Amino acid sequence: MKNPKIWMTISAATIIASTLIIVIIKPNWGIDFIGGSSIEIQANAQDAPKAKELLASKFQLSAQTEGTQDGTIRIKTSLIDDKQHAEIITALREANILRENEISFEQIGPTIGKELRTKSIQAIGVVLVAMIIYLAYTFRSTGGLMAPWKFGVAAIYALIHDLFLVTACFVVFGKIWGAEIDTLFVTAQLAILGYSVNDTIVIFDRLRSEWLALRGKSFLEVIDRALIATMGRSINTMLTTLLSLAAALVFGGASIRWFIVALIIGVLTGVYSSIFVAPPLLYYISKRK
Amino acid sequence: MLRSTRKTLIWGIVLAIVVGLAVWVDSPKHPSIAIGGFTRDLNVKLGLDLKGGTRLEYRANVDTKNGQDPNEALAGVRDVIERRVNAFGVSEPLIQTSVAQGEYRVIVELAGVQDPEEAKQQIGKTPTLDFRREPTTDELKKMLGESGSNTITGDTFIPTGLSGKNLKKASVEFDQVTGTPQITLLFDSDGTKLFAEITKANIGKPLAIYIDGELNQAPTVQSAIPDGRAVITGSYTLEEAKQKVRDLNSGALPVPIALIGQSVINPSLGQTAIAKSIKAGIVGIIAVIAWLIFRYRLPGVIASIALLIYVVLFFAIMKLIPVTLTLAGIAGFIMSIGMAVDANVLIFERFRENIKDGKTVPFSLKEGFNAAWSSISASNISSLITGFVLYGFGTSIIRGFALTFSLGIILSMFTAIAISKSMLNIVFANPKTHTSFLLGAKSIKQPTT
Repeated sequence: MKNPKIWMTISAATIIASTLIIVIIKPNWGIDFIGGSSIEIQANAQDAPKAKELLASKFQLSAQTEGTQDGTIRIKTSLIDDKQHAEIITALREANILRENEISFEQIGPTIGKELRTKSIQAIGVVLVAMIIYLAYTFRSTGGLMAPWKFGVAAIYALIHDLFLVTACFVVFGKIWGAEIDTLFVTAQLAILGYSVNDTIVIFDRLRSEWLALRGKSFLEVIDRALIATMGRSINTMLTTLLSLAAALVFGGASIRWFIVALIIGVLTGVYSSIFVAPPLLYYISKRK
Repeated sequence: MLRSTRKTLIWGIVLAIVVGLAVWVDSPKHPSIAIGGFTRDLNVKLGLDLKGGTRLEYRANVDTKNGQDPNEALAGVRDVIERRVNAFGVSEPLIQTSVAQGEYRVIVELAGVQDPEEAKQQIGKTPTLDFRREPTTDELKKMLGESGSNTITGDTFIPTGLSGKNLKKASVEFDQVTGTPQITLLFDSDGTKLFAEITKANIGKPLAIYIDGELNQAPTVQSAIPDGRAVITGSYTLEEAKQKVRDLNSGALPVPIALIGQSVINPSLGQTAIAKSIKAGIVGIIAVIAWLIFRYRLPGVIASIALLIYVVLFFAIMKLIPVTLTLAGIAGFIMSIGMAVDANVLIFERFRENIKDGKTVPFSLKEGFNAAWSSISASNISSLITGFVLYGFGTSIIRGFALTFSLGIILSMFTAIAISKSMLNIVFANPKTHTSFLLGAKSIKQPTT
């Protein structure tokens, strides 16, 4: 941590760039957030474009189709009724795209979508506020290092950094591979918040004890020592978590694949942010040399 | 020394019993448990996404302006749907109500139902019953004014507010003279009062009875009826009469409902998902264990044993609570395997640091625990807060994840601290274990005496 200024600039730039990506490219919302219908059928994944064409020519529906590794195609359209659904299934069968069975059919009305959106934002907001309060409480005695709420603010900054970075990644994945921002994604984000704040707490806790042990040293030096001392733990916990997530990614099936991808990216950004995002900000707001 | 040995022994026995019981619960050979009044079905409860089935979400159009108590109306809708679904023969239907965005919702989950059409018809069917009266002359004039002509087509009966919700019981009886089946209605106390008022006000006039929105008949009121009994005669066959009575008794929906969301999941999807998740879980555990032993040697072995105990206990608790397993829940569990060892990692890293600093093994261990504890508790509590918020806000998918996630955190604190701590103490009480190889450290300081 020789140059906290550089790290501060990088984290701020990451947040700004992520925001731009989210605003410009726009997320590929799941139907649970905007309402709509989704059909999953057993089919050849390569037939996905054919299914899209069929829906456009025969039903005037602009659909998103995605072939999965489980030998299915997922079709996402605006809200269709049961009659249309039955017609589409018949047409897909006749065109020889649908083999064997329809696996799932889901319809979500716009009001449910709105509700889930609001709830998701509320949940993330409540977690952030709860974390500030909890951190301020945990670090209530700092031996005169700084006001306890500053720990909370630095940790939340790292969390916001993670939220934006992971969301931006998913917006890009959505553009390229059709990854969706849906309830599962929000669930992953919240789990990431939990993981990332864990990491930050462990580092801050070490930082506090190093500060108490090394009174008189510069704060930058204390931060350095705390980061080095906790590095082994950060890496090992990250590795064990990534190992189990990797197993879930490889063997876990297509329906939770993006969920696992979100968790993996989140674990990586969580470890990164608790080392390179939260401590530099803490350094600045502590106003210590 | 003797005392601590005995304590360790007792602790070991208790632990062995708990783990033994958990293994017994986990075993698929024991599908249920019964201890005194406590009984549990020990088959894993699977969520709809794993089991396959139909999920229907309805909006109940509660009319709050009309002085209707929304909670009561919603509970009424729930009961009626439950009765209808039960008649449909679905095992363990799950019917929930919720209020969201100022809307009243009813969610119906029907495991195993692949064709939602029949279910939707059954649920959406509205066997309504209501009583209507003839309009007064003034009302008739008003209606004529509105329609702008001097004839009115269709019926002109006006709802009286007496409806199926006031019905206590409907039954089939036979006319004492002709022997034809007739339907006898018995009203509840409100209904009785209302019926008495209506009949009193309409003596000599027809009172129309509508069933399922259609005029059934309009007998002329002979006198006020105070006892809350009404008889509908009609040209019913016995079968028809019985069917009507069943419909009426299963209840009219107190408010209309509209389908706003549905999903149908094929069970094959769930079966493959479960098989894959089990594989993923096993591979994940083996990978984590391999890494722990490679990195921490003997302490790693102990952490691995603690991890296995964690998995065994986790499933036993899942089965006992019981927690409904969903795909997101499984993902939460797999992630928790990685996070469960965090407490051990924190302790071991401190332990190693102390050994590197030239401290003895017992001292390093003790200090490692003490130093790591504040980080362990703080980070786990923060995760628990996240878990609770997730549960509080979540829909069923998120809740599945939040439950396994929170359960994993609490349990991993127990296994990582209580179980590995005592095992470490026992193992490292023996100085023979204090070797560079077993500890993965370059030089080990031996105790001086």
